Amino acid sequence: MELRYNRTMFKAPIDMIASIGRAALFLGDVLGVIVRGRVRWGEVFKEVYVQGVQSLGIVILASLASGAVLAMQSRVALERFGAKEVMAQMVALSLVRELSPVFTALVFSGKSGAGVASELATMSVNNQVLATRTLGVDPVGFLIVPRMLACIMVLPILVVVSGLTGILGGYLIGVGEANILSSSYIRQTIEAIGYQDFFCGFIKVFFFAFFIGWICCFKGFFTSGGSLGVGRSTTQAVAACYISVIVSNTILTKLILTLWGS
Amino acid sequence: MILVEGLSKAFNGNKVLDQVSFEVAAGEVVALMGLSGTGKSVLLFHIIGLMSPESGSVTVDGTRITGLSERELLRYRRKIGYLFQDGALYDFMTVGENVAFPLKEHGQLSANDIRVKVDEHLKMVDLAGSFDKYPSELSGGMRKRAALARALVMNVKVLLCDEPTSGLDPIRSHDISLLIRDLSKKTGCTTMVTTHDVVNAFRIADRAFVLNGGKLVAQGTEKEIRSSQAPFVKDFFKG
Repeated sequence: MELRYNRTMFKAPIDMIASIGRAALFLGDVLGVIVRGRVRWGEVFKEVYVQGVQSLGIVILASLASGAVLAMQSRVALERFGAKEVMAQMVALSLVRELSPVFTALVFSGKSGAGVASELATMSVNNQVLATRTLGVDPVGFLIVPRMLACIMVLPILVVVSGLTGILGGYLIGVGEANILSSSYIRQTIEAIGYQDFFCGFIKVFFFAFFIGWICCFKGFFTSGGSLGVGRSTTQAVAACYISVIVSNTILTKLILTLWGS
Repeated sequence: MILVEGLSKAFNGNKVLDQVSFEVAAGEVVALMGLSGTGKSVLLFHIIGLMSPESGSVTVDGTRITGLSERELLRYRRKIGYLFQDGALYDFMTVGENVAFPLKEHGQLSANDIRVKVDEHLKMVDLAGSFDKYPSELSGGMRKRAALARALVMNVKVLLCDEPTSGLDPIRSHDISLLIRDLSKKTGCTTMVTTHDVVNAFRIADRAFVLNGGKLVAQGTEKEIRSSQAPFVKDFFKG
């Protein structure tokens, strides 16, 4: 009885360690394909298009709205201190350094990441992954590497788009509602963003993209249990992506600020 | 062509294959029969190298595949065709692209030659004109035939079919059984078919193996199997 209790108690952490181990081996296989130069660039660009198109609309909409909301809220706070003129800097810096990378990574996880995980999971439960092996083709090279590389290529582009549309959202409120001169808003925005601000946010995006690609491909690839398994893997993949983005963002921000300064 | 010696495999202590040994001659068509869950598919997975045994070995066309690395197995599998129960066609590719896939991956053929060969194989399985259709637009029987075309397109030496008649009505089952037999004989490939469908098994096969409890309990021609005195075999064929 006591033994059974202990087994139950340790099952979850043991499963978790085993899963991390499997994920590490899986990553080793992925890197092996890349290092040996067996990347299928045609498939990569097809995936870049699919993932980009999947997420572009929602990223633009979300960024435009969040830029506008950020401007509205900043206006309330800044007007109290008579500092309405710095609204453009505040919106631009917040978006470029923090909000755009994190927000876009979360949206991308829920849209393209979920798409990748569910697609691979469906292929897995329908024996298409196994069929790839029976046809003498390495499924990691054929199905995984293109999707992972596409994630790493698409997310930075989406972050740039997000930053620009977010700034546009702020501009519309700043000029249209707060009556800041258009030329003044644009000038202040450009002056506010230094290259270190841009890179401070942009470097993190590659880590986010790597985690999202790795997690979604791993979860999808090792799915079993029919349609229930597909749903479970997809949900777990998206949840794990959110956690990894939020946690890695905190660690990376601290690291960047410590090593690079503000 | 296929030599299986003392093959054993267990999952969580449950023995699925227990010292299974047999030989299949080149060009022969063999049915592997038994109740559902008796290890027929597991045996096919060992022959194509998707699983490795706890003991025993598998030799195909002179290559001892037990112990080969995954990269060597990928190369070995190019001469084996595998037909999955549900076809396992890529649903993001058209039927033609599915059949062309192994040729593009491994062949040295030009795009034109690939197209000609794919059309030829689709015609062989009575799917001429389905090149641009997606698997979701096909019926279950048509999907199996498309998958058969994909399995054979590399001029394979061995064809392994996992429950090719499952989920099909009796007429379609009859058709696919005859198609597998005809194509096996026409292409000269050695074929193993798992099934629990007694009627269709002997439509396809020259000989049959019967598995029960992980052991090979009978083997031979239809006449030999039907005259077997083993209780399980008698019950199995009586239904």
